[in-house]
Amino acid sequence: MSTVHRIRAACRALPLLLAVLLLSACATSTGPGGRLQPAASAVQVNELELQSDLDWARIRGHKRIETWTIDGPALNRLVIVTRIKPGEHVFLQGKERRSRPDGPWYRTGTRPDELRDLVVDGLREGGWADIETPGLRPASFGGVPGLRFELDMASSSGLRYGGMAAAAEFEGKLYLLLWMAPREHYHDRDAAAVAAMFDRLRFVRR
Amino acid sequence: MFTLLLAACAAMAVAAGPEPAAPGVRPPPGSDEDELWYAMDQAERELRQHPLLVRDEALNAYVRGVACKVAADYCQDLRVYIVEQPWFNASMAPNGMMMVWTGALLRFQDESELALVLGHEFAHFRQRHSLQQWRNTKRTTAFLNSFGLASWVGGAGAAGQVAGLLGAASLYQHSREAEREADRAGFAAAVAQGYDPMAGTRVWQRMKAEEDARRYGKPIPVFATHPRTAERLADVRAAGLAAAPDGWTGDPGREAYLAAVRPHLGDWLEDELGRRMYDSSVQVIGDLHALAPPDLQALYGFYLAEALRRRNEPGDRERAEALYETVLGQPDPPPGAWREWGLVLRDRGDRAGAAEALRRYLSLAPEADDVAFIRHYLTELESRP
Repeated sequence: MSTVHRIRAACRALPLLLAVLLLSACATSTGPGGRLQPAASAVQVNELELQSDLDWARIRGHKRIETWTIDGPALNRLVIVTRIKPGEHVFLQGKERRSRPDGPWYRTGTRPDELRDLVVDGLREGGWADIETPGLRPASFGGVPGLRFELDMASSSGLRYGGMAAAAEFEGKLYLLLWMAPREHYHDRDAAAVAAMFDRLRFVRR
Repeated sequence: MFTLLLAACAAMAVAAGPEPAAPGVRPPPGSDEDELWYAMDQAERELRQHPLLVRDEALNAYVRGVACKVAADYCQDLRVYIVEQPWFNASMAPNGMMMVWTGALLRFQDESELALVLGHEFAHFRQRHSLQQWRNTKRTTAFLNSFGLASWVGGAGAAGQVAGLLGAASLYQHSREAEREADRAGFAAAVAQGYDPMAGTRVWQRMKAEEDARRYGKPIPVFATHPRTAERLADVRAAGLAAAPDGWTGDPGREAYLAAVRPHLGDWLEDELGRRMYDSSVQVIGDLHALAPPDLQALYGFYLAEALRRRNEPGDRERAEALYETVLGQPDPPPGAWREWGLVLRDRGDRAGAAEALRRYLSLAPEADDVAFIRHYLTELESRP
């Protein structure tokens, strides 16, 4: 591969790298940045339409993964992953390969508790520790049967975070929303509004 | 014969290199070794705050007690930390910070195996194996990485910590000669305390079996710079046989070990499955299951079934289902075995049996995090014709 091709490949990988960094347990808070997504407006992320009562800064990392934040990624993060294909990592960090057949790859028809485990294992890879997932339950996800659960976990520096996750299979692909914020102040401030946002999301045709 | 062997081991242990550390002595202020200890002290402060640190007092007291037994006069120089990581590993920093990963504690079968490994790590400290490396490189990041510590200092997450340690294993750790010296000295320290001299043979036989069970990927990281597993197994077997020519076996300390780890085994087995390396999990848990006392048969049997179910290769499903059924006939089956058996029966079309098993699961684990889905399954089973 020539140097030019390597640079081009690296540039193509940058958005995904950014999104992956925003999932890690040690994201720095350098201010939200990104494009403003004002409250009460509807927005489409691929087939998902989201409506929120909160103002978000929308950081578009990759065409299938976005991170939204209000006060900065270390203080609140909403990660939206769409169109995860069978054999892909739950956070799009790789694909199934012969040298790693039993990694955290999404498979069609995965049991709800196994989907939850995929998310937890992905979070562990990102540096989160002491992860608890109370309240795994069936829930409508944009009008299709899905699942929801809460998150309780610690960053690598020991800061406690809370959050929630929602996921569903739609037309053979996995869709995932993940929200997390420090237990101190930020989680309780926004949890109800984020839950309402999860309740209101729907699938739309593009 | 035994005394002669110990003397020989001790003589071998003081190979060329810095003089062995003296008990209770810190490096002289301003020396390069003092600089090294300072960096490690900083890392240790970070480690003490880390969420992966296991803080259970009884388990810490037990493991520290074993470390002190093999370290003898050096006991006060060591601080032992148990880290929740599902791989087989232990490490020793030059300032006396000893780390043991829960994956190693899961794999040990008795106290003599733990003592042998802690004796090995202690030998690195006493022989000051790290100092020469420090003098050779002075590259702090690379050096800290050799202990998996750069990420502790830098605040990276568990994955970073693991990646740092594992990556560093191929980059930079103790030399193979230092590892051999630590093997010999650790063996001598453990056997001197009356531990079973064949413990090392058992540990390395199982480690080799685990390594062989993997059909892909690199060698198990802990072995990357250590002497080859087969070579190491031959060495420890020869040393063990030489120490016990008349059949003396020492004390394995199995009951004491199982009493200490039993409350944690369920969590560690969950972590083992979380590695998503099911070939080696089937091997590891299969070993534990084969050697388990009656009161642990159901626990190990259930998790072996889970490893098989998740691996899902030809024949695995049938083996898993047979194990769930067996486990439910044994004392104290984990509640999850009722859930899995209920789902097996549901797939077989036995709606009444499935519902009964799932209700049993709910009664045994009313606080489980998946009860809403189980109730959902029950509603489906009971509502459809």
